[in-house]
Amino acid sequence: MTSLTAYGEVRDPYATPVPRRHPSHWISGCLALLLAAGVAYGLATNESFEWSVFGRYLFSAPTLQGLAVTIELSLVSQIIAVLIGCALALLGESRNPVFRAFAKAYVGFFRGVPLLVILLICFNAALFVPQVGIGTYSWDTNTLITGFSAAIIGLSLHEGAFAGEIIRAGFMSVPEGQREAAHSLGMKRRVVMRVIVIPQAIRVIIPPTGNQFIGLLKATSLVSVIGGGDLLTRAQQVYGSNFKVIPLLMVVSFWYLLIVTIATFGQHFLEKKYSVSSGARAGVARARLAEEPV
Amino acid sequence: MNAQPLVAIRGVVKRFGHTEVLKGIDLDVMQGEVLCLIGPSGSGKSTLLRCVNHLEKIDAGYIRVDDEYAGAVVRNGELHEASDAEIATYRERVGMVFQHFNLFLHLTALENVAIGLTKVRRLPRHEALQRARAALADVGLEHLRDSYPRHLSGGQQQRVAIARALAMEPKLMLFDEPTSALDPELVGEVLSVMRRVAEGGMTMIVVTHEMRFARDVADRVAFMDQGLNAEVGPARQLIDSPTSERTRKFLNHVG
Repeated sequence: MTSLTAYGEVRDPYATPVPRRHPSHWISGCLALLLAAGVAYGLATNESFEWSVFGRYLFSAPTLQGLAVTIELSLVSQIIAVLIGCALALLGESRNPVFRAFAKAYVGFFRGVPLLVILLICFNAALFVPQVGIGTYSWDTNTLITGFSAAIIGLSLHEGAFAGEIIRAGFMSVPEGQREAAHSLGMKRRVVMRVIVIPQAIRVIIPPTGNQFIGLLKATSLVSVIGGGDLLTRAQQVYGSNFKVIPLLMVVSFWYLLIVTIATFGQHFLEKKYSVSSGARAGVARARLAEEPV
Repeated sequence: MNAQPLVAIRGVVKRFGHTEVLKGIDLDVMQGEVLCLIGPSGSGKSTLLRCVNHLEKIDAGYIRVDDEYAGAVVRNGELHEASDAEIATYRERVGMVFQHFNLFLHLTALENVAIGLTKVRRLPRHEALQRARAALADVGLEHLRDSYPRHLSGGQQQRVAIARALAMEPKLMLFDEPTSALDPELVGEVLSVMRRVAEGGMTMIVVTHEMRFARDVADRVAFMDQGLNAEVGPARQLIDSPTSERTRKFLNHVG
């Protein structure tokens, strides 16, 4: 067949391509919406969800106390974990091979043993360390180890190993040439770390630490097995006496979803702030110079 | 000229594992002299330069700059391995310019130049900034003082790096292939800054493949080959009429 456009010529010299149509998107989209509506209807009308019970317990005292403990556990453990992580990263960079081996062994152990097992070990610490003491002072381990303190110790030790890996990766992300240039100016090792390495590594460290924290928020629910007093522990105590299992688990889910969502927003904010691509940063350089020590 | 050389390199041996990269180098650099190190890649010229700044630890021999030793100190008439603090003090007065610039990526051009003054020389901030600004002006980049390295061309970055090293008022400047990573059209601006530094009387050791620069600016040229200092001589003489066959071959290849 021959025509004017046989060789792909376009008659209108100013033509724009006609957009493709996507009827399949519309069909599959409608089907998905229908399915979602069905699930929502089922959830709303299913008797066993007992939404009135859900409403009653959403802001009840045990729920809010448990929520406070969950947040407290997460924040305190995260802070201690970062401190442990810094120590591990510094030990890992040390010139002393014993320190490096210790850091490696620590990370290996706490990465390899499940958090649940670590929590149980911490909770039962009295079985293998009956007394702890400094100098002439000593205490019964049993009186020190409560569900809460065991939770803090277990979560911190476990998260510390991961924080250590994140921080070490951050240090390693700073090119060797940066250190060499700093050394060639006559900076001492500690100054190089503080002035050159850490400010550059922090951008690499912050985003995965945010992720780690979100994971930790959810991981705190594991402390319910040792009576950590967190949100899930409290909910279990309540449904243990009134058997409203599903509504209370829905209450727990609601609060986890809420705090994780809030934390995710915070994470996005931090990621943006510390992203390396920032033409904006150059613009504020002058303002920065005025306030920051060089 | 003073009889005592500013830089004395004596019997320097450097090994990486089982490979001997430097096989006993002897070299003097006089005060105010510009020495270019040339030679094929793998001949050990960059390694020697890094040894002078103690970025590499030497396995035998010594390197003395003025009255201080690279990575070593004199105690009771003997050389002992230096502490971190002593090494840092030694490096303060030996400036280094790298092939890949190595500007601090999180700092502006001005901060890059000032940071050694505040963190090493401990000058008050405003004095450090003033000196940094002057150092940037010397390399013609004062207008870019608030730019971050990623917004500068390679040539501009290298000029900032030179200003950063010069601001420390070094006794000796080391240049490790300062134009090898640059686009051809940017080489000239860096070489002309280096030429001005040389004319200012700075003692310089320059590892380079720029034979014209070596011939015109250097006082002497050392040709290195397989970890040995194969031939040393006045720049023009060595480049225009080398005595050894190996030097002649190398120069034919690059030149």
